[in-house]
Amino acid sequence: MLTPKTGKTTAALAGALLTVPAMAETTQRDLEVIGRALSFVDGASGTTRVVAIVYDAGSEGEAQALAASMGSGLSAGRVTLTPRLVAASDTGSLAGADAAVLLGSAAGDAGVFAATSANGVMSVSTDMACVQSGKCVMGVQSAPSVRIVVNGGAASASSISFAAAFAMMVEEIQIKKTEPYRGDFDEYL
Amino acid sequence: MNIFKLTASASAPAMSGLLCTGAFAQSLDYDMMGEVFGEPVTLGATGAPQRASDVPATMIIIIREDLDRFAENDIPGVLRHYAGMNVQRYSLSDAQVSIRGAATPYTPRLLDLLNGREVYLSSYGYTAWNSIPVQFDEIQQIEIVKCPQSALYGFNAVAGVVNIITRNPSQENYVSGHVNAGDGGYSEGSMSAGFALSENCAVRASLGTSEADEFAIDPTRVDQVNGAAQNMSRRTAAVEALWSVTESINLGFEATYSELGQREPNDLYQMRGNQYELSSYKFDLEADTGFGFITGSAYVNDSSIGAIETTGTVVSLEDLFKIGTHDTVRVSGEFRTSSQASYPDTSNGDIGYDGWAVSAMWNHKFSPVIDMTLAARYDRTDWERDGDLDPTIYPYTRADYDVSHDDFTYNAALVWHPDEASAVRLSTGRGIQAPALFDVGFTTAFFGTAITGNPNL
Repeated sequence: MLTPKTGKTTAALAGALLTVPAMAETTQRDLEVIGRALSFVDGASGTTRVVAIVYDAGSEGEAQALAASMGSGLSAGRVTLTPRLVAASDTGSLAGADAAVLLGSAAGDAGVFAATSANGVMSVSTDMACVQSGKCVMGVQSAPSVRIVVNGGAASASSISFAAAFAMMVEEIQIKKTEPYRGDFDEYL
Repeated sequence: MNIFKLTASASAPAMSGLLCTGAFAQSLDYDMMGEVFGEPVTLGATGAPQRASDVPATMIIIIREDLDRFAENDIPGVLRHYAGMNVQRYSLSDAQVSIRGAATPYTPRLLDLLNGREVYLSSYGYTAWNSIPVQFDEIQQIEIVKCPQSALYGFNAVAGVVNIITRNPSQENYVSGHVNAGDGGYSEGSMSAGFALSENCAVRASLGTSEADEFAIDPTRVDQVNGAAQNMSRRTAAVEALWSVTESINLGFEATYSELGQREPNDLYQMRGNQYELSSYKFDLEADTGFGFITGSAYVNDSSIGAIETTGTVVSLEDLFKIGTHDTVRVSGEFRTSSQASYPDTSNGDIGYDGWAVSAMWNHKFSPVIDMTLAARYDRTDWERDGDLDPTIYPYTRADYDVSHDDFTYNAALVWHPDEASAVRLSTGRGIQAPALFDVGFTTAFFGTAITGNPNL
């Protein structure tokens, strides 16, 4: 029988299971999916995309390994991705990037999201909690099957829109706007 | 007949695939989408782009890489490799295709589409596959949809649908050609090309020609003697132009022509030689508007099959839109008219029909792993006949041909992904096979009696 207490516990557990999926390391396959998805960002042109890899202290090694795997350019469909390492504490160097892959605690950091959105950079993470909380525009999972989730509110805040066909094929989280977005998604929600 | 083939081929893939990126932003980029999602994608079932695993129908998608792997000369040859496809080859050129059913001569009940245009022969309801004006190298993918799909795909989708989609020249530049030769009088040549002429204009063109001696016959077999002199001869041409008027409006025009001579069995399994001459003209409109994604299409199919002259026109308009994030709706309307001169005596007037149809589709996502699709279609078909009928062979008066049919069809499907590698699909549907023009209007004298079609089908 569910008592209020056990009910709360069950709900909390269920909530934890639903909202805290395993945060796997970002792989080259994830990057390839992200790169191809960049082709469907409205206004994109040219064949090169600069991908900022935003890391915190705990994910610096992962960031460097990811950048090394991209070398001087990773081919992803019709675009080539070039890496740019950006520390979460130095988001000023995000300007000019086409996308920002958020690693570690940078995924979910309100300051990092504010910086990416202010620069019109598409923020993306393999940590689905990031897109669900609205601190990333896109969440990507490439294995075992591809899953792409877009947060409509975060996309709007970042001035990012996608080609209609692509938008119809991804999972979309839409936030009802009752007041203007002011840069803090938790508050906004 | 064993054919020894000498083959020379050349193919040049895109040099500048991104020339038109943005300009044709609304068109589905099958290659790129397939690479993003790791599986083929389609627009076919609902009008909305979907991954193959999400489609609310039993669908097989044959992509270009699959076509390259098959050592086949024609589309039925490819289709025969897939479960549920019944392909019966009656001659070198003639093969009939059915889905989950017998492929008899002149098999009806299958809706065959080339870029959304019906390429089955409305005069008799079957498909002369080699008359389809497409080259292998310009095919993007072939979608096989099993079971009745009238509410989702339209007229004649009773056994299922074979939907052929060509490469989009606005998304890739390509040139491809083949020259094949062999014994038995076999020769074949084809060329196909697609180019973006500018950021908002692209063209596709193809030519094909082939000749071959037919299989040898047994001269003692009466059923084989007729048509024995008919060898296979095929000529096709197609040209398509795409124009992106604005960021949200695309226009398209396609014209095709094909000639085919082939040996084939009739309904009574008696071989005969037959000559086909087909042409088509098609206009397309795509517009991404505040009211949804609107597509319009209008085309004319003219055909001459032996002495049977048929013309058909189809005009359709649909609107696809999302309501919130979980609901997609498509509403559409269609008008069609088709007529055929009386056969075999053409002095007895034309038989034909006008048809109207409205349909609606609703897709609802209950969750990221469960979604439901419901579709319904209503068709009204009004038949009529003109001319003065010869009362010595026609048992019906002209007024007897003034009949109307009202038909309702539906499709429903529930798709569940229990895990990330599987999909469970429950579906049901009702399809309508309208009688072919020949079924209703054919009448001929036969040793003092008359063999006639039936307007009351």
